[in-house]
Amino acid sequence: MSDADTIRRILLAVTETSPVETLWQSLLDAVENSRAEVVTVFVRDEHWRRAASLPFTREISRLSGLQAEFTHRRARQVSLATAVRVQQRLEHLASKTRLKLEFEVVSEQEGAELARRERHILLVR
Amino acid sequence: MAEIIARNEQLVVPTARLRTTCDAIATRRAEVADVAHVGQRRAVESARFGIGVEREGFNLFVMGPPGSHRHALVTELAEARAARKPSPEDWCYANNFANPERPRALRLPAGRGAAFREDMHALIDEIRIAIPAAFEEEDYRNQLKALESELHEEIEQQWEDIRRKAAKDDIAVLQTPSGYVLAPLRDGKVIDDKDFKELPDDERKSIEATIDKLGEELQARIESLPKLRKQQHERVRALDREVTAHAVTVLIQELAAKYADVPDVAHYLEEAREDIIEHAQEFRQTDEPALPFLRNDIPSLLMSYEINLVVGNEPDRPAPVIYETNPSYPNLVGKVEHRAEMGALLTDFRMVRGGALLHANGGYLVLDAHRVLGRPFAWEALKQALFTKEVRIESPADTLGFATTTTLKPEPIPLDVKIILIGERWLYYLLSLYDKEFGSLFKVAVDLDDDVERTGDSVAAYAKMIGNRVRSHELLPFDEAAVRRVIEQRARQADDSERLSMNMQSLDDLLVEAEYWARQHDANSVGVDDVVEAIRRKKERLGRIEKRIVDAIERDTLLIDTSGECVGQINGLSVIDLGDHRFGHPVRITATTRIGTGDVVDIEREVELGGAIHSKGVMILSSALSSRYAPDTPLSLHGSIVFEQSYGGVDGDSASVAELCALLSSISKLPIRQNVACTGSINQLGRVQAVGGVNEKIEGFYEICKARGLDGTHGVVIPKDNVKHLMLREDVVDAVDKGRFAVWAVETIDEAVETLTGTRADVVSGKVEEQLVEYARQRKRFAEGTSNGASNNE
Repeated sequence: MSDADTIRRILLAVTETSPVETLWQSLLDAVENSRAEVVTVFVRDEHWRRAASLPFTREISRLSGLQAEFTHRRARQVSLATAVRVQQRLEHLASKTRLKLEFEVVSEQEGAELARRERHILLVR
Repeated sequence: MAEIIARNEQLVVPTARLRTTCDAIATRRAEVADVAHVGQRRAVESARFGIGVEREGFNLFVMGPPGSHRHALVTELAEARAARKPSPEDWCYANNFANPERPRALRLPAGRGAAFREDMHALIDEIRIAIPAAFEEEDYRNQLKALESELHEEIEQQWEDIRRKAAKDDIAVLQTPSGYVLAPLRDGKVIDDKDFKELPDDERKSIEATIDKLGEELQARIESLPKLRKQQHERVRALDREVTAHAVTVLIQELAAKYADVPDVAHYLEEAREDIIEHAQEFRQTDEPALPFLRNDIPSLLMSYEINLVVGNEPDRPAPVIYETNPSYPNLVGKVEHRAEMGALLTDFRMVRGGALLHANGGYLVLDAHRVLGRPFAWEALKQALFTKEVRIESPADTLGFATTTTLKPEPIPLDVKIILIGERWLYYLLSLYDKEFGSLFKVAVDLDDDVERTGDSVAAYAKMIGNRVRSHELLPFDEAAVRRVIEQRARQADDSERLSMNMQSLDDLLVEAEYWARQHDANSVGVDDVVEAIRRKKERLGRIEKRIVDAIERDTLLIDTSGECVGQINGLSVIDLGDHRFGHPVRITATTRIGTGDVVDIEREVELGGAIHSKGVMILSSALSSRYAPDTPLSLHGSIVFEQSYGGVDGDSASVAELCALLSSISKLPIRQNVACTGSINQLGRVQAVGGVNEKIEGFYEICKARGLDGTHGVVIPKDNVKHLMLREDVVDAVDKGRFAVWAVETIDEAVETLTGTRADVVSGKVEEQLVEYARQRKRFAEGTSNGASNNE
């Protein structure tokens, strides 16, 4: 039995610093001749939350250089914006193929749990 | 009686004096100038002087009635002078790159304005190709790329410095969508608040201090970025300027060499070169309009290098002589036009238009005075231009300070023009009197004569002039008899047998009309009969009112006796002037007298139908009456005089002889002949003086008498001084010649009275004096009686 016969889901897990295009190409290679389901997962980076928890963390504006307090709310906004950006990028790449894409956002811990729980997946990360 | 008849015979005007015919035209060859300006020697000399003096204020005012050849005369003289003057310079308006609201005036030699405009147009076309091409060059692209790389590397280097420093101190530089966050790292992960609190105090403080320091440094780097980009932009601009300068200078140098002798253009080209280099980036843009519905024939930047030729002259042509028929402010001074775009009115230097002053600059400008004065702001603008010797093309609202919107103020253009104003005399005298600046601006008066002395030479020149006008109007030729008849008519139109009218309009009309009648019978030339027919037909065309008056007299609606005698009643003569047509007709004047206090009442004046001159005439005759007939007695009479059946205004003193005769008849009870009419004014000493319209007056009475039947007793008494004015119709002269009508010329009131009453003058005077003495006596008696009565009553 080949891998193509046994793999039922392919999980593409990316972080905000992952090379999305390279990973996507690896996914396309893996999905070839397979009827596996493709699931993309954005693993939310925890460093925004951690940075926001520190009392002295400031966000320095790229345009003006002005500094502002980096709050938890701002951290969530940044994290969400990053996830949206990655999702849009992946959707764009998927639009060039026939693949139907599912996108989920998970925490680091959830990502690790997912990889451990699923037996019949090819994890590309 | 025989004595009176003999004296009357002496007063009869001989037939030959009733109409001075033109029997021959001297065959001398008239000089061309004489022909063109017959009888206008003084005016021509004045005009030549005015046109020739090239000094400030020596502008001309040409006076004369309409139709007096004014325009033709001054235009001809000005053109003769202009032919000796060089063609004036061209004037262009160009963009003022430093201040676009004040377009720059460029002076070029005649003919080069149009060439410069075309050259600039060609230059723009070349620049549109040359500049983008220069930016497509490999060399430029490489240099630009190098500059961009330089900036990129510099910025990257700065980031690298920050990242390196941060990494060295275990600090993460995290990038958010809009900035950076600095956070402490442990084992490659950002630590949270809980872990941070577990760190020793010193370490915590150290981390905070490091992050603060790095934050400040990052902030400083970010703040320095605009400066870096600005420097980069300046370097790119400098590169663009260098590239553009190279492309443009090569193109402009050729043009600058061509116009090196024209300082204004040379200066402008240098400014244009600078501006093109300054706007190098814009030359790289496409020609597409910003919005699809906006007009964009060529990019607006390119338009700013166009040239607006305001005055273009041709070299080797004479100076201009321009007659502006509609001297409104914009036509005279010029205007700034606007175009509507998206509901807004836009303008620029290309829409500045020159007026007649600029087009005539360096030459002569002919204007009708009444038109200039009648157009709003035109007169003031003309004076302003002459005083300042420059033309400022501004809207009147700007000049008066009413405009609140921004508009163009083109640079003024120096003015050197001779103004020739044409107007009527009254206008000249009014301006002289009421406009204090007029005298200093129009120093040369050219006074055209209304008529010319009728001499052998002037008749010859006049005949030549008629020939010239016949040719210029392309009419059938006039034979000599026709020309002579025309000349006779011109004397009649001058109201003087010894002068010829200089109203060219009426002459042309007569020539054209005579030719028309000649063509009606397929003649090859115009004969005397055609001229007579033209005169007759015109009189007939305009004779409706005259005919109505004659009809009213013939039907005894207007009461005029042409036979018998009557005390205190006389036929005066009146003239009605309808502009194109003038005719005379008799009018009944009556006088009544009785005892009174020496006053003669002018009923016309009392009812305010009499003009000032008429009132003056009545006062003079009143004075003549008392001084001649009651020198030693108080004038104890009350007289009244009236124009019977006159329902309009009466003016002039030409009836004063008739009025005095009527008064004398009333006083003396001697009747006046009703088959005679009388005209003439009188002075206080009893001298009969000349009056106007004598020909029409005689003909007017003749018409009535003729209609009722001429019997040889009819005639008109006129002042002797009017004999020289007689140019009576041929049929009137013929009637006189056959003894059926007469014209008596009198010098004194005695001669008039004798002719009108058929009684010796001394007899009339005696009766008048006798009656005046009687009036005085009665008045005295009456006064004494009243006085006695009053005493008795006491």
